[in-house]
Amino acid sequence: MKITKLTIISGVMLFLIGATHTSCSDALDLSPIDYYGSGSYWKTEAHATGYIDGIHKHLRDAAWQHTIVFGELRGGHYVSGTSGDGSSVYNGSIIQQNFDANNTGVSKFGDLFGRITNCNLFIARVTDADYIPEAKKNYYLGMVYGIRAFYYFDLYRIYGGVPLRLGVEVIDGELDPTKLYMPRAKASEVMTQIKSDLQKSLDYFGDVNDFNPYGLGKKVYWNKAATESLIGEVYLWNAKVSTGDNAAKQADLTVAKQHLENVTKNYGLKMLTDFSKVFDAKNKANDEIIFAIRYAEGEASNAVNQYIYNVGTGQTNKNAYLEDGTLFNDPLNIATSSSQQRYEYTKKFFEIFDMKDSRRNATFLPSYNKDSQGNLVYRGVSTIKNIGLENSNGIRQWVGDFIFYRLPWVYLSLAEIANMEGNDPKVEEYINLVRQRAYGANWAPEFAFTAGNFTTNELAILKEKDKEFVQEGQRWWDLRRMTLTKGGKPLVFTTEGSFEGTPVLNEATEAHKVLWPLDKSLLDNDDALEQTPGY
Amino acid sequence: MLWNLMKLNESNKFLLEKGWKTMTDPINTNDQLIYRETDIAKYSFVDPSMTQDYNLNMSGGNDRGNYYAGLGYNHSEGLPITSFYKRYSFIFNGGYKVTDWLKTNSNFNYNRANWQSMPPTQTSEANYFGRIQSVPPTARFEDEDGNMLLGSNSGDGNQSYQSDRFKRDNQTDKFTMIQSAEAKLLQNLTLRASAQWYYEEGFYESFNRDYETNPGKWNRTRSTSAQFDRDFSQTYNATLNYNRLFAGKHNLDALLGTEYFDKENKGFSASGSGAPTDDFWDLGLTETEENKRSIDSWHSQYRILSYFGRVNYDYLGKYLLSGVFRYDGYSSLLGDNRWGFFPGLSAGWIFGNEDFVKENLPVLSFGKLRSSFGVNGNASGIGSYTLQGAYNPQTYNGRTGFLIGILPNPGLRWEKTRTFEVGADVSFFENKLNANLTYYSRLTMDKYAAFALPSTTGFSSITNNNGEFRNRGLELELSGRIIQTKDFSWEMKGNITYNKNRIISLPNNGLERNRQGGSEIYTGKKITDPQTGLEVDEKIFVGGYQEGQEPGLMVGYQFQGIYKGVDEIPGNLVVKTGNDQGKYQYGPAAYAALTDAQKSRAILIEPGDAKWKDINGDGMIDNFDRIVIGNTIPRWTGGFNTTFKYGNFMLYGRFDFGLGFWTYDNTTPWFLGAMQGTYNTTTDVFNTWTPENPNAKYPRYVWADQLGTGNVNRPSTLFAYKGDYLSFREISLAYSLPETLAKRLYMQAMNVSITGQNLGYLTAAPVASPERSIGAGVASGTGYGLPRTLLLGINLTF
Repeated sequence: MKITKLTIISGVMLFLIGATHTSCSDALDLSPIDYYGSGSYWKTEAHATGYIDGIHKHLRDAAWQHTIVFGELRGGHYVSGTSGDGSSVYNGSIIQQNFDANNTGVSKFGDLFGRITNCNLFIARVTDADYIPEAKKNYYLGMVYGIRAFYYFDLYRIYGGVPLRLGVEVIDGELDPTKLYMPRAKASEVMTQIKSDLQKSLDYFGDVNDFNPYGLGKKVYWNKAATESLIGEVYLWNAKVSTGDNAAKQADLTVAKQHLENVTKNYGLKMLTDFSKVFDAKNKANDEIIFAIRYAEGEASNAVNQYIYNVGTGQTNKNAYLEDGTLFNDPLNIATSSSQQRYEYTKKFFEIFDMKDSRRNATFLPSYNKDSQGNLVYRGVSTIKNIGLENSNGIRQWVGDFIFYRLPWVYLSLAEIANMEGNDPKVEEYINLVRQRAYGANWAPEFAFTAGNFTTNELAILKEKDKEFVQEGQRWWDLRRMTLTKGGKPLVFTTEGSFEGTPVLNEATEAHKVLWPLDKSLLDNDDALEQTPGY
Repeated sequence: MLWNLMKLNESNKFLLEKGWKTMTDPINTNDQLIYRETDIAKYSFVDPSMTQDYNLNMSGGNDRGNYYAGLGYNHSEGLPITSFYKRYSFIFNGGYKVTDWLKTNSNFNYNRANWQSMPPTQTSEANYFGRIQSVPPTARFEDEDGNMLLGSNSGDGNQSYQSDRFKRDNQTDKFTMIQSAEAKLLQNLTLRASAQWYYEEGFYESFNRDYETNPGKWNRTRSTSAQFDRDFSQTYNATLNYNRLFAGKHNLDALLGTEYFDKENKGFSASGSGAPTDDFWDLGLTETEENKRSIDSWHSQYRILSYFGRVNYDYLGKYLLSGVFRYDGYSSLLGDNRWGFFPGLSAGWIFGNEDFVKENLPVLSFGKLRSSFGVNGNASGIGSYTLQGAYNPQTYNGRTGFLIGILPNPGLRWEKTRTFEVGADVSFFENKLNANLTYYSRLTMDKYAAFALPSTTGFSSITNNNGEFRNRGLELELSGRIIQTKDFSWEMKGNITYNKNRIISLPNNGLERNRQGGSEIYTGKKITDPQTGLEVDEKIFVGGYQEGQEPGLMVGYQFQGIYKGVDEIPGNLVVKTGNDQGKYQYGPAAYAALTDAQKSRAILIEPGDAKWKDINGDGMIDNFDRIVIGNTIPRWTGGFNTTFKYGNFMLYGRFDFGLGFWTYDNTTPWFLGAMQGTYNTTTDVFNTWTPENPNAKYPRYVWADQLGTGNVNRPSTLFAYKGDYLSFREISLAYSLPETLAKRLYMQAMNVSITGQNLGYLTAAPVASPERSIGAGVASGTGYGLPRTLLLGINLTF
C-alpha cells in the first residue's frame, strides 16, 4: 500500500478546512421538510385558504363545549350521579350548579383564547395581503370576524368581562409574561367589540349570500347567513340580559329582528317536512341548515355516543325492555361501536314530549324495567337524534354534524322578539310553523298554540325550543335570556323555568352563578386577572 | 350462560359437581349464589417465562492483524401472554497494521430484534398488571369442557381467549459500519480518523382479525397497518494527538479534533380496514371508500458540528493540570445562539507519591487530591425544527388546512451546566481498601423547560430558557477486599450521595419569587390585611417552582383520624373539597339546616368519615387547608454490592437505596374508594371503619367515594409514606467447574449460576416501586413493580 504521510496530512488539512468553512455557511441551516415553519407561512393564497380550513377544524374542537357544556349541562334537565345504564355521568359539578373557586366547570376560559389567537393571526396576516384576490380575501375575512365574534360572545355569556386580545404579540416574539398579562375588560367593552366584529364581518361579506362561493363546502363554513343569525342572537341577548356594567338595551331588538328576517328571506332556506331527516347523516347541509360543523368518518366523531347505552359494561342491554315490551337487545346495533352513557336527560324532561310529536322518537330511545306484574317501569333514556350512520363494516360512526344555526331556531328567535313587541299573531305564527312540522301527519288544530299573556307566550317558546333543540345547545342560554314577565326575572331563577319544582338557581343565594368562576391555577399564575364577582 | 356469577337454582345446580362453588348472596341473604373461582393471572401471564441466550465468538490474529467475530441469539418470553423479545446479532471486528506507522480497523455490527407486547386489546401496562388483575375472580373464563370464554368484554375479559386474533409483526434492523485509521505521522504526533455509518430501520405491521368485543358481538373492522421508519446517521471525525516527555519530567499530551454528525430520519405508514376476509393483512385488500385508508410519510434531519481539544500536563507524575474545550454547533438551535463554547480546567496532586507521605504514612498506597471546574452544554431534547415554529396540518371537511402549532423561539440559548468539584481518592494496604470523597456543586443555567405563558395569549407554554437550578451534594465511594485468603475472599463496594436541589433564579413573570405553579395554603397564622386593617388568614404558595426553594414538594390534607360517632363530628363543619361533583359535605347540624333542594346537592358527614385538619380553624375545610407533606426527591441515594468467593463458588449481591423522601400510594385509594364498581377490591377493606371495627386504619368503605365524602379521593397524609427503601436488586450464586474437570469435557470453562433479580424491598411504603417518585393523587392500576426474575444460567466456553 503506497500511501505517503504527506497525502494523509494534506487530506486531513483539507477536511479540517472544509469543515471549518461549511460551519460558517449553511451546513447547519436546516428547515422543516414536511411542514411550514413560521418563516415560510403566509406567502400564498393556498396558505390563507388552508387557514380557513384550520380555523373551522379548531371551531369543531370546541363545538362540544359550546353546544353541550356551555349550552346545555346547566339547563336542569340532565341526570347527575349515575345514568340509567349504570355508568357514572360526567360533569356532575356543572349539572348540579356546584360552582365555586375549586369547581369552575372548565378551566383557562374554556381554551377559547387559543382559537381567538388563530383568528387574530389570520386577520393580522391576511388583511393587507396582496397574494389573494380581493373578493376572496374579503369573504374569508367575513368568516373570520364572524367566528371571532362567536367566540367572544360565548366568553361574554360565560364570564361577562374578559380580556380583549385582538393582536398576536406572542407570535411576533413577545415572550415576557409581564408584558403579556391582560386584565378583564368591562362587559360593555366586550359587547362593543362583538358588535364591531359582526359589523366588519357583514361588511366584508358584502352581498355574497351564497353558502359556498369558493367551493370549500356548503353550509359547513361560516357564511353571511351565520353572521346574520349571530347578530340576531347577540342583539336579542343584549336586549334582554344585563351583565356587569352592560345593562340590557331594548332598542337592540330592532337590529336582531331585521337580520333574522333577512335570514328567513335571503338565503333560500326552508324547513324539511320530516323532522328526523334534518339530522340524517346522509342528508347533511340540507335546506334548513344555516351553519353546521362537519363530522366525518376517519376525520372526527361528534361524541354523542356518550348519550348511548353500552352493551359490554352497561346494565340496560342486559336487563331492560323496549317501549313495546320486547327485550332491549341492542336495538341500535352498536355492540361493536364505542358508546358509554356519560350524559342523560332526566325523566321529567323526556316526559314533556307527547307521542304524536315526531320529535319524541326521533330524539329518544327510552328503556324500561318490568315490575312484578309485568308492567313497564321507566328506566332511562338514550339520545339518538344525531348519531351518524353505520359504515360499510357495520360499525356506527358518530358523524352527525353539530348544527349551530338552522331555520326553526330563527323562527323561534323571531317569536321571542314578537313577544317582546307584544305582537301575539306573530308569536303564534312562528311557534306553529315549527310545531306543525314536528307533528307532521298527526297535526290537528288542537295542537296549535294560541297566544296568551307575555308569560304564557315566553314559556311556550321555551317549551318549543326544549323539544326542537335537544342536544343543540339552547336551554341554558334560554333560561338566562327569557324572562317571566317583560323585563322581569330571568327564567333561570323561576320555578317555571325548571322541571324539578325549585328554580335552577336560587336568586337569593346563587345569583352570581349565572356567570362562571375562573379557575384557581389561572388566577394564581396571572396577576392581572380577577375572579368573577361573587366567587 | 352468563360470564359471571348467578343465582343458584335447580337448572344450574349440576355445576356444583363441576367445580363451581356457592356463597350466600350478601345483599339478598335468602339467596345462594353460584360461581366458578377464576385465577385471573393464569389467563394473563406466562409463569415462569423462559429466557434463552446463546453466543458464539471467534477471534484470532498475528503481529500484523487481528479479527474478532461473534454470533448471538436471545429469546426472552415476557410475563404477559403474547409478549416476547428475540434478538439476532452479528459482530465483526478486524484490524491490520498496513505499515509500521499506519493501522486500520474495520467494524461491522448487525442487530435484528423482533418483539410483541401485551395482547393488543390493551393499551397500557398499568392496566394490564393493575386493573385487569382486579376483575372479580367470579368472572367465568372457561366453560365446563375447558373451552375458553371471553369474559365480560375484550378489554377486561379473558386475555388468552383470542390473543391469536391480533397479528403483530415488529422488527428492527440495525447496522453499524465503522472504518477507522491511525497514522503515526511523526514520532510524537498521531492522527486518528474514523467514519461511522449507522442504519436503524423499523418495520411494523399489525392486523386485527374478527374478534369478539362482547359475548356474541364481533368487531369485523379488520384494521391493518404497516409502517417503515429509517434513521441514517453519519459521523466523521479526526483527531491529532501530540504526546511528549520533556526533560524526563514534564509530560505533555495534547489533542485537537473535529467531528461532523448528520442524522436523517424518514418513513412512511399506511393503514386501512374493511377487507373482504380476515385471512390476509395485505393493505391492497382494504376498502377503497373515502376516509377508510390513510397514508403518511415523514422526514427530518439534524446536524452537529464540533471542535474540541484537550491538554494534559503532569510534572513527575505528581502534579496534574488539564484543560479542555468544546465548540459545538447544533442545527436545531438558530442564528447567534447556535454555537456554544464550553471550557473546563482541572488540577490534581498525587500526594501519595510524595516521599514525605510515603515515609510517614506507609499504609497509604495511593492518595490524590483533585479539583475541577467546567462548563457543559446541552442542546438535546430540542426537536430538529421546534424553534422555527410550526404550522401543523389539520383536516376539516376532507380538506387539509393549517393552524399555528408551535411558537417560533429563535432566541433559545444553550442550556449550560457549570460544575465545580473537589475531592480526594485514597487507597490503603496495597489498594485493598479504597475511598473516594467528592463534593460537587452544579449550576444549570438557561435550563430548558416549558415556560408558562398567560393563557389569554392562546398558548399555554413555550420551551424556553427557564432559570437557574443548583444541585449540590457529597458523594462517598468505598470499596475493599475485606478478607482475602487462598480459598475465601469477600469484597464490598458501595457508594452514597447526599444531594439537594435548589432553584436559584427564574425568569421575571411578575409574581412573588417569580413563582411558576404551586399551591396556595394557609399557614395557620393570622395577619392584618394592610388595606382593610382586618385580621385575615395568612396564605402562602408552596411547591411548584419558586426562587430560593426546592422543587418537588408533596402537598395534601392532614388526616387526623376517623369520626367514630356522630357526637364527634362538629355540627357545623363544612368540607368543600374532595367530591368530584363539587358537592359540599356538612356536619349533622349544618346538614339539617339545608332545604331539600340544597340537600340534593350536599352530603352528610357520617361516622367513619375522615377528620381533616382545619388549619385556620374556621370550621371549614377548603383547598387552603392543606400542608406540605414533604419532598418527593430522595436526599440520600446509593447502592452497594458484595461478593463472596469460596473455592469455585461465588455469591454476589447488589443492593440500592434511597432515603429522605416521601412517596404516595395512589393505587390503594382507587380500590378502597370503589372508584370503578366493576372491579374487585383488596383485603384493606377489612381494615376500614365499621361500627364493629371502630379502630380501623381506613375510613368507611363506600361505593364511589369520589361521589361521596371523598375520604380517599384527595391527596392526604393517609396515603403518604416515607419512601425510604432498600432494594434487593440482585442476588446470584455461581459455580464454575474446576478447569481440569472442564478440560475432560472438552471445554475451557463451564459456569452454572442462579440469579434472582428485583427480589423485593425493605420499605414502609406499600407501593410497588418505591424508587419511582410518585406525587399525590389517585390512579387506577399503577401498582405493579418490576417483575421478580429468577435466572438459571449455564455458560460453556470451548
